[in-house]
Amino acid sequence: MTAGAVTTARAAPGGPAHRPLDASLGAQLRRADRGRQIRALLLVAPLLLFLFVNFALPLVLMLAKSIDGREEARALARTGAALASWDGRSAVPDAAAKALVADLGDLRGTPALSMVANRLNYDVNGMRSLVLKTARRLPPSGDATLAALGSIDPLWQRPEQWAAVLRATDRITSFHVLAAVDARRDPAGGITMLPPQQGVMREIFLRTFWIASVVTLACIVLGYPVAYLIASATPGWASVMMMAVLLPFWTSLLVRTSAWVVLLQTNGIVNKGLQGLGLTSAPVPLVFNRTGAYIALIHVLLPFMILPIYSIMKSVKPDYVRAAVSLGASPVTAFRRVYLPLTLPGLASGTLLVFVSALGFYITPALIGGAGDQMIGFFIAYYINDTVNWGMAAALGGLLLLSTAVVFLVYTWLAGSSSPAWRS
Amino acid sequence: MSGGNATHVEFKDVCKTYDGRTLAVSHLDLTVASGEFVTFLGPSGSGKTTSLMMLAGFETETSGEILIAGRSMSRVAPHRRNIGMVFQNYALFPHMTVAENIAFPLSVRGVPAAEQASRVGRVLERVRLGAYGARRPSELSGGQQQRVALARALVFDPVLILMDEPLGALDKQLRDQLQLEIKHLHAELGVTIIYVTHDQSEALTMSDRVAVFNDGSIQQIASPSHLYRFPATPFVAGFVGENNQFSCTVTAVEGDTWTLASPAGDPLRAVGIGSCEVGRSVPVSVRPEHLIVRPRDDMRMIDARLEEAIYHGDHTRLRFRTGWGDVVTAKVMRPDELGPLPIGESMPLGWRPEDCRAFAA
Ligand SMILES: Nc1ncnc2c1ncn2[C@@H]1O[C@H](COP(=O)(O)OP(=O)(O)OP(=O)(O)O)[C@@H](O)[C@H]1O
Ligand SMILES: [Mg+2]
Repeated sequence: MTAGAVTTARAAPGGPAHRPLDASLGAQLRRADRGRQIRALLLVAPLLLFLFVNFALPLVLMLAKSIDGREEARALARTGAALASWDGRSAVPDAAAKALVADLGDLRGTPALSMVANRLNYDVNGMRSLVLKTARRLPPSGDATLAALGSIDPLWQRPEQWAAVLRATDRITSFHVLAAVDARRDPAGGITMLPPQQGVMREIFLRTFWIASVVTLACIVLGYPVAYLIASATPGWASVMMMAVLLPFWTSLLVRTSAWVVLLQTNGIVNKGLQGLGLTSAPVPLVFNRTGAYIALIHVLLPFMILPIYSIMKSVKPDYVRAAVSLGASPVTAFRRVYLPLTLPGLASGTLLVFVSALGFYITPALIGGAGDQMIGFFIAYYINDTVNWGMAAALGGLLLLSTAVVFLVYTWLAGSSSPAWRS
Repeated sequence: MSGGNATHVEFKDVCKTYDGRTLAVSHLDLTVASGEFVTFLGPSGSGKTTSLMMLAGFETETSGEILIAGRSMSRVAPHRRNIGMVFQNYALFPHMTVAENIAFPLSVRGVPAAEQASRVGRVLERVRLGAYGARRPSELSGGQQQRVALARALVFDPVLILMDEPLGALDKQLRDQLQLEIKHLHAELGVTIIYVTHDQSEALTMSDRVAVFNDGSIQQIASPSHLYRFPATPFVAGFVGENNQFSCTVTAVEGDTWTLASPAGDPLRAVGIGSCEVGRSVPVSVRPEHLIVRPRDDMRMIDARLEEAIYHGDHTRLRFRTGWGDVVTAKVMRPDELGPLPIGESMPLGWRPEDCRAFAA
């Protein structure tokens, strides 16, 4: 009895709960839970609203621009209808020429003309001047035949121009998205890739990923030991070093980047120092090229690598490494088999943070890099500010967003499979 | 226990300071025989862990020397010392399964995979966790985790095992059970174990010898029963087991039997430790179970007023207030044999002179 009493006493807390739940109890529980959820939702509602209005909505609107062809489609509505049954290769029907003359007639003198001309010019070079010229010398509508247009400019006799016009009449267009990956629709409606010498986007994307990878790798190599140093230093030194890591955050990115220009330029401190030490005889080009872009990017992004690694390292107790060593592991083995795996989650999030930030970087490469070192962000800005081609900017932005999402998915998949239920 | 009395571990006048001002361990001299179970017992901050860490090689001694099997360890890297170590917080590698944890010391020693598996299996059986090899440490209870840590420290057959408060995080019942298991393992394997704890009952239960630490030095090192019956210092008397202490004045010294006067003037006798001149005030210590209520006249020592009787099932504790204001406690197995015990009444207390100790130092 006494021994039994001990075990029953220990088992008791679980005992009465085995009675089957009656339905009303379950309903009560659900009601109580619902109340709590609603209250929680109300608490975060302002933030959700803010995020929606200032983040989600603009994002969706901007991304929508990349496939939005409604304005062009409206401006060329009649031409679109007349070309609807055209196969893209055979002779263009006169009805289409008539419709185009009518559409251009309506557009003449409005801003929409320039918009349509620009849009056609993105597709086929030279169409802007062709359209503007044609609009200036429109034949009378009774005489609007293909031949009449051909007499304004013989280009109108070639199907390529008409195919471009047809592509511009889609209300939902894949034009920008395809252009962002160096592809286009051929007149028959299939997708073809541009020949390598014409397409630049693939190269820009590859370059962007390459620069981001190099920067990330350099940040790992530089940041991991620094994080270790800070994590294992005495509190006084640790806070001094932490200050040094965080100091750059107190100045704006623009200032830091410009400072690098000053430091790295031909007569800058770095070159003077190198020459003074006799390491080089002439100034080394360090700015407005890839080297400068790497240096500045690594500098800007290094804290994003150090901080997550540091915080994980702080949570790894020295006992783990001591245990490994006491069990016979040499310091190198203990690092490789115990410390590194335990700090891997920090390394992974630092890598993700740096890589994703590097993918989207704009100011730093724009100021310090040369023409051949510009990343995707530069071209998004270029399409928005210089050519006012929002469709293309939106398509590139969408593609960047997509690659970021893919990187993130790969990260969560890797992190989910390798690590750890134990970090719950 | 092979090896008999051969010296296994030796601390020779070892000092350690962390800050250059205070000694965390001061002039430690200690020999541990092969196959012995020695416990370091002491309050928090008394230097037990520091001594253990120096032995394991994770801290370097400031002066002095540590020898294992006659060999100086000052030039031997920690991973070459071949010491099995069990940490207070287990330090099981969270990213490995239980089996991988236990195989770790084998795999760093290049043991072939097949042999690793069989040895891991055997040691898991020994700690009664045969079915848990594939789990993660986080999926085990505290006691099971500690058994895994034990298995990991045993699997590579070290002859010296260090344990730093291995049971500190467990509840009492589990602690009692694991104490016995560790003791049995020690008897079966014949390894030398150095065990750190600040729980005196744990130290008394498990050890061949107990070293009592205070302020970085060993106060006394002796077998549990010797330590309990013959504490060498007031600190040991107070730290190991329960004990009533109060100051008395020495009135006569005859060999090691001293006569003293309590603050209220009662004459009393005790075993004197150390040498002492008449007239000095010294601490006197007597254990509750040695205190006799209403003793025979030849053992009568002091008078005290009963304040409280606390029932504990197998015994009763009587709390007295002495004439000079100290509280003394008597532990009585059969209170009913003592006759009526009215609260508030003064009654004589006594002890056999050999059960009471007066300390000169
Ligand atoms: N890494 C360290 N740096 C500085 N001082 C230390 C360090 N480790 C221990 N000490 C000091 O050395 C003294 C002895 O500490 P130690 O850890 O050996 O005590 P302990 O007997 O193991 O105590 P506990 O029972 O609390 O574990 C303490 O005063 C402690 O403050
Ligand atoms: Mg300790």
